[in-house]
This record gives sequence, structure tokens and C-alpha cells, in this order.
Amino acid sequence: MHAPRPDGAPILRLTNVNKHYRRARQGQSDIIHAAKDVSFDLERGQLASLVGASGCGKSTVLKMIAGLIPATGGEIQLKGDKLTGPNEQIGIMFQQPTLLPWRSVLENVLLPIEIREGRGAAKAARDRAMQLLQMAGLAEFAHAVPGELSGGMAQRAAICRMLVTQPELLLLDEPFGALDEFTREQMNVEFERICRSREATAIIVTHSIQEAVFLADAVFVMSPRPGRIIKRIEIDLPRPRTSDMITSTRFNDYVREIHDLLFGGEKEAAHV
Amino acid sequence: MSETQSVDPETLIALAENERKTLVERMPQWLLVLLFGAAIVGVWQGAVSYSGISELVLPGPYQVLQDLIFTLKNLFSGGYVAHATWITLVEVVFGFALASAIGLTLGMIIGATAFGRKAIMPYVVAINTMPKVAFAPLFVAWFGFGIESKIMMAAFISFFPVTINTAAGLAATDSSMAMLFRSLEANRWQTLIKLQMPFATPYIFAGLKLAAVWSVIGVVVGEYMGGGEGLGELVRVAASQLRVGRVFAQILLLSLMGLSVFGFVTLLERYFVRWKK
Repeated sequence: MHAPRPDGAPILRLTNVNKHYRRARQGQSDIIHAAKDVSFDLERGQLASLVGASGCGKSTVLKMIAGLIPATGGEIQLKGDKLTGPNEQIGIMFQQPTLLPWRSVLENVLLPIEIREGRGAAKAARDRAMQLLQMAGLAEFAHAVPGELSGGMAQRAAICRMLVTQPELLLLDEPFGALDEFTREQMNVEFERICRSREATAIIVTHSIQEAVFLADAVFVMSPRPGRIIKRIEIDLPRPRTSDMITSTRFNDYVREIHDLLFGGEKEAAHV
Repeated sequence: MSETQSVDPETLIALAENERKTLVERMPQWLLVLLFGAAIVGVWQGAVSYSGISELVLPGPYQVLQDLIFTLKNLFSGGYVAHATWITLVEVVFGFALASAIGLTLGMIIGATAFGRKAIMPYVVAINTMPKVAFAPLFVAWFGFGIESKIMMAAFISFFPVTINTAAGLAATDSSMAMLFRSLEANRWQTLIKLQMPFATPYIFAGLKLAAVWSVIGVVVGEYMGGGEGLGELVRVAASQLRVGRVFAQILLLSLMGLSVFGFVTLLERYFVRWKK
């Protein structure tokens, strides 16, 4: 099969990944394809976004890569090795910041290290965590509890927690979906800057087409029932991405193309 | 004219709303509490004075006050009431501690293991549906007339709310947080100690507060059945001698004891659950 190459090999490779389950309805059982034949490669330093309507299977794909739910078929490889469950080289964050409210912000950021390597290692990594908080503009909140943070600040703390183990691959499940529009745009700019400075490889699941285009080098457009990738669109916009790009013609051409793919497809399906 | 115009319209609305409020709505709560209490005492005194009820059945407020003063004097001068209060307090504290230990352990087993949830939980629920007070004579037979039978009775009556709340708290763990722990490959012990138990503390304390009050009930039932030297025994003796005022005074002491244990648990809760708004 694919021999792992030392150089130029994709960080992540999905080959015909499937997820289906049986659903019993009115005595009959039918098979729901949450994800069907999902295949793509992701190179080091690439940001990809998975965009689609709710229920199109984009979160399912992300959770399979994260090892949180098993695939029913196909193969997921991280740096040439088959993934079978959660992996320490993968960092993840969700729509909710999921900070533990009884721990300080700093202790929350150190949680992944504490769990994987123990208290001693977490203590040794305090400086690194503080640097991350500094980068996220949260240095003076290191000893605050999450209840004192705003929604945007809490998500920035969650980003620090995701980065503290220096993972090879970042997975973000609608990371800024619960934030208001202004904070969200600001977070997108900040997140793009962070990823660029660390040459991070990331997959962002979102239902916002603008967000998908703004952050990504490649947008995977997904359509539901069965959940599959209908198109991969390379986004050829310069980096760093800036807020004023959102109003540019090229940006909006990408947005329109994806919009037509998503909504045109739905109309067709409705006529069948 | 200019003066009336300078008044903030919202203030006017607020004033008008206040006009519409009834007298009771405008009175401070402490005054209402005092007035209502005074009314009850008045009715009580009236009933005792005019109905011809014997003092042996229902003494008037004044008689009860005298009994209360006698009981408190005895308590603070180190008399037999002080001794009885000490004995009962020891029983309550040990009973409550035992109930907490059993409740936390059982609750953790039920909340964190499939065996506990499926095999142990039904028995705990079955025990809870029994009228537990009915076991008191058995506890006397098993553990004797000393303080042990009262401690066991208190623990038996009050372990249930701690058990159920601990189990419920562990089961209520936020699902996104649980997912985070899974993605970090946390083992079961780490998930229990670092996520589920802290998450469950508000639930656990709700159970502990119930247990604090119930353990006083357990001790009194144990003393009614098994005698001994505690306040429950004093109540039983005073009632058998038809000294109803004394009974009231001693019951008040028992309530204060329950309130103290409850207050202690509330203080602990403030410390441990200070992250919860």
C-alpha cells in the first residue's frame, strides 16, 4: 500500500472513509450514511475547512479523524500510520470552550499535559503555557477562573489548551459558532495568524461559507444524505488574510461558487 | 411647570406603580415575620386561656418560655441537659459522617461502573422505599442500647440522598467535557477524579444537606427505641410525665442541632463549590 515517505508525504490521508449506522423506523430498518467514501490528503501547513449544512456529516468526519467515533470503513492515516483512536499528535477544540470551571485558566491550558504526562510534566510546561496565553492576549487572566472570561476569551483559552501539546494536526469543530459576529470575525483573523506563525495543519468544520473561505487553503464542500465531499476548492488568496479581503471580488467569487454548490444541489434533490 | 417637566418620566412610572402596591407588598419582610409570629402566639394564648384545655395537654406560650429558660440554664450550667445534648451531638456527627462515607462510596460505584448502575442501584432504591424507621427495634437488637445503635440508625436513614445525588452528579457530566477527556486519552480514574467528581460536587452537597437533617431524625428515632442518655430520651421521659413545655424546649434544641450540622455543610459547600455561580 502507501509506503510512508519521509518527505512530502501528507500529514493526513483519508481513503474511502465511511460511517453508516442502522436506524429502525416503523418496523423497517434503513441504513443512514453519515459519511460516504470520504477521501482527501492534507499536506503539512495546510488549513482545510469542511463546509456544509447541518447534518451533512462534517462533524462526523472530524470526530472519526479525532478517533472519538470509529469509522465503519476505509482508512485514516496520520503521517503514514493508521489511526485507530485518539492520538496525542492531534489537538481538538469544540464549539463550546469546555474549560473546567473549577480550574484556573492556566490549569485548564495545562490539562492535556497533566492527563497525558502527569502533574510533574504539567508543572514543567507552565512557561510554555504562559507564552501561549501571552500570545492569545490572556496573560493577565492566567489565574482567573473561566467564569470570569467572555465567550471569545474562553475560546482563545481553548485554543491555547489545544496548542499546548504542540500537536501535528488541529481539529476544530465549529470553533467560533457560538460567538457573536464581531467576535467571530476577530477570532478568525487571530486564529489565522496563530496557524501561520506555527505552520499548523488544521481542519476547521464550519457552516459559515465566509469563515471557510477566509481561513482555508482548501475548502471541502460537503452535501448530506449520504454525507460526502462534492468538491475540493483551492483558495488562492494571499496570506496573511485580512478583514478587508472579505469584501474583495475574488473572495466573494469563492463564496458564491460554494454557495451555488450547496444550495443548487439542494434544489435538485428537492425535485427528485 | 418647569419643575414638573424636569422629573424623569420613569421615576413617575415607578412612583405610580408603588401607589398600586398593597400594604403587605410595601412592608419589610422581617416586620411581617415578627407580626405573623406574634399572631400565632396570640391565638395560642387565646386558645389555652378560653378553651379550658388542660396545661398538661397544651401549655400556654408563657409556660413554654419558662421551660425553655430552665432547659437553656441547665444546658449552659453543665447539667443533665448539657450531658444529653453532648451525647446526641456525638451520635448525630458520627451518624452523618458514616452516612456520608457510605453514600459517597456507593454513589461513586453506582455512578462510575456499569455493575453498580445495573446490579447495586436497584437494591439501593428498594431499601429507600422501605419505611426505614421500622428497622429501629432491629438496630437496637443488633447494636445494643449504647450510642452505636443510634449512629447506625442515623446512617441508615440518611445515606440514601448522598448515594443518589453522588450517582446523579457523576452521570450528569457535561458531554463535551467528557469528549475532551476522551480525546486526551484520559483513563477512567483520571476522568473520575479530574472531571466527574468535581463536576458532581454541587449535587453531592445537595445530598449532604438532606443527610445532615435526616441524621438527627435517625438519632431521635434510635433514642426513642433504644433509650440511652441523649435528648431523644429526655423528650420521651418528659412526654411520659406530661411535661409538654419541656418537650417543646428539647425539640427546639434538637432543631438547633440539625441547623448547626446543616450550616457546617453549607460552609463546606461554599468553599468547595465556589466556582459555581
